[in-house]
Amino acid sequence: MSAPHARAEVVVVGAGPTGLAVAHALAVYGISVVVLETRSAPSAHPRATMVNARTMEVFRRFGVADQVRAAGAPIESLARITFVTSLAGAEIGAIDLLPSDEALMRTVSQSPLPPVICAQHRVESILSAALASGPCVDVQFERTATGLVIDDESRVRVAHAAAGGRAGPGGSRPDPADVVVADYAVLAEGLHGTLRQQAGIDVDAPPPLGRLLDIHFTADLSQWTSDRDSALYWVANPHVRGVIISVDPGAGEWLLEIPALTGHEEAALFGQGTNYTELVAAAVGADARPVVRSVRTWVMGTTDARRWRDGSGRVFVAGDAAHTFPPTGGFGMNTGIQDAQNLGWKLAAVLRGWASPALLGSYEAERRPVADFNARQSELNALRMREFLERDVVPHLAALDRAGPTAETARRVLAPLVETHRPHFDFAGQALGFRYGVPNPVPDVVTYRPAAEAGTRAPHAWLDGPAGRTTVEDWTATGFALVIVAGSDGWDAAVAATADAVPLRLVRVAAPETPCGRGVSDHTVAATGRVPTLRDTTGAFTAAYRLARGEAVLVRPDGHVAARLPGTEPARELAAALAAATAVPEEQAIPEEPAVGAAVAMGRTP
Amino acid sequence: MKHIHEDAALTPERIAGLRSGQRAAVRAAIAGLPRADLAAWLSTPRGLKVLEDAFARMPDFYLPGHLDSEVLVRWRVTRAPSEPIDRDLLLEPARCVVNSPDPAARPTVTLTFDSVGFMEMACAARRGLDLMLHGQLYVHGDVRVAMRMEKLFGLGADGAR
Repeated sequence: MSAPHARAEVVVVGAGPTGLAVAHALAVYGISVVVLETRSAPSAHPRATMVNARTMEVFRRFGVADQVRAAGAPIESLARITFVTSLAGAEIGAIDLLPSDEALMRTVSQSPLPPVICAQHRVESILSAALASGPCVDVQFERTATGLVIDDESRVRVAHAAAGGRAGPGGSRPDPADVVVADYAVLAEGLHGTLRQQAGIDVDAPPPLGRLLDIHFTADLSQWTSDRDSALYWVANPHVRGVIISVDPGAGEWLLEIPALTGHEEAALFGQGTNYTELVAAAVGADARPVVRSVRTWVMGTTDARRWRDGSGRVFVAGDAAHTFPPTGGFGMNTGIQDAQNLGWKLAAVLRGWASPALLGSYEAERRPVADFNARQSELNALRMREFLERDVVPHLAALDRAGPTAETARRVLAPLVETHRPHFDFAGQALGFRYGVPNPVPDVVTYRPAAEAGTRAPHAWLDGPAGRTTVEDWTATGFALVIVAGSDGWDAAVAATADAVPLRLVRVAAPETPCGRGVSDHTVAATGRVPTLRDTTGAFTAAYRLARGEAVLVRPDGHVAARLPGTEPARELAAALAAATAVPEEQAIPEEPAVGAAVAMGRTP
Repeated sequence: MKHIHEDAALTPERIAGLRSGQRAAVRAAIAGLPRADLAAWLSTPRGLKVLEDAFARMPDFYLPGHLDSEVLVRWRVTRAPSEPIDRDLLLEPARCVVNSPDPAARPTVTLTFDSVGFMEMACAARRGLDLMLHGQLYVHGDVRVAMRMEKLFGLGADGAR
């Protein structure tokens, strides 16, 4: 007798950063998840290396941010992009990512965590290990998902086999033990996965920009890098045009990435007999005795799934399975993880019954425009850099290699051109300022302007209270948060009226100079319905939210603003906003008799 | 009686740790201590002495060889409701000199901490960036010099020494 099939609420195909992030986002709500992964362990070749500020916020929610920071290189010590003829050669120019004290203080006020340079395989290991300690998620390595069908009960059946084996619904019937039956499937199988096609999801792949050669190596480059403190060293000389990426500079770990954009470059880089050590030496400008750890080639281009959800409505694509971009900007892994953040709470809300399945349609509607923007921006970055390295720098190479006034003149000529590449590297507006539900999701790539408007990420602000210091987003860990300023009336009853329908916390914030509700404990809240007032110690909340007395901001479980409510009719406004945010018809969402005076719906403080 | 009141929140062991001048002992002394309690104690005369001693010991922790030329870094430690402490650190390639602030001097960078944040960073319990992220350290002036402070005083990976 065969073993019964595995049952899960969600099956995730692929344990890359996106698939693991989906599992984390669901585990928060106690959703049972099976993750299937062909590999036995993450590849040791660093793929993505940049974890941007928004992704670090997501990791903070998953409880792994400190580990990712510890495993990576601190961006504050690598806050520069340097352009050189070679590491040992002449400096062409540089972009300071923190060019002034004003820029530094603005940057540290925008997020509770800084971006980090942490190689993808380390991120994957941390995400995977954290899931292993929880009860909801079963990550199965060395299991290849081989087939996907929707059964008669509208459930997803994913067949799998030992890595390298073959099975599937199109061939012989798989052993029931090799099938996962789930309510939903998320395909985070990467660009080359095969299940999307079985789900009827095709991928558009326009002609790529070229191919990339990645050489992962270790070497002591400190004599050329220790005073430059750079995340990236772009190199332009007659032998190499590419970039040395700081993977773990303290440990001497680097990645040399060279694009092949022409037939000549293609032949030179991917022909027989390519000497990787010589390429590294040409980029360094000296024999640094590199040890080549691994080499990878990959297509540099944009791909785009035609739809992100199959016809049954039960299968979704996320991460590289939905979109790929050139690496210029480092948005690939970050966009995938943020897809997971968007999809995770929606699946959980539907499975737990506090949102309509119609909500799942908003996943693609919200995330595709962001991914499209990131794709366009990444392509633009790649093309601009190609022009810079091939057209702008080349005429000055000889002058740059002659020390003295001639080189200085060349640097002065090139300086404004170097600065035009700032959006490629200095992208707080793109990383933190993307907005859902508007035609242009990123109003400004470089500058992030905090605003609490529908669709924006709820701006970061520290709030001090009896349970310690929290951010606004902490209050959305497992549901919505309604944020008001102290002295706003009518919201307690409105929140109480939703108590049985939607997880919702009321967050009351006092101005910086106002004493907070010290001494009001969770127990007191539960017993009396009194909500502790949090204090806007730094003033960031007041500045970013600009809430008038009576107004409220409803923040979704993914930390994005659902609505800004005027407070004229609190109960009706809140019910309507929650109905819209959960895709529940409003007539079902609005309570007939708001339970005035009922206990306030408050969860535990984060 | 005044001292008993000032020290009420801190055990004798914690106070001894704070006064030890040893980073590990200071870290142990502040571990788990509410910020408000430590801030209140650091605003007392005995707290002032600990902060002054911490400045006086900074040359002992200075790591020569990381600077090519001298820079003047002003450190301001706020300790409301008491007066702040200001010190000018002249960082030369081979040594560090601590002085009272010279009103005529123009520091390359000024670092403004609250008293607890200063103690936390001085004993390597927290990184400067974390203090900045929490609005407990402000930088005014040359950012690159500011970012090198922890390296210059061995507050990175070897901060426990």
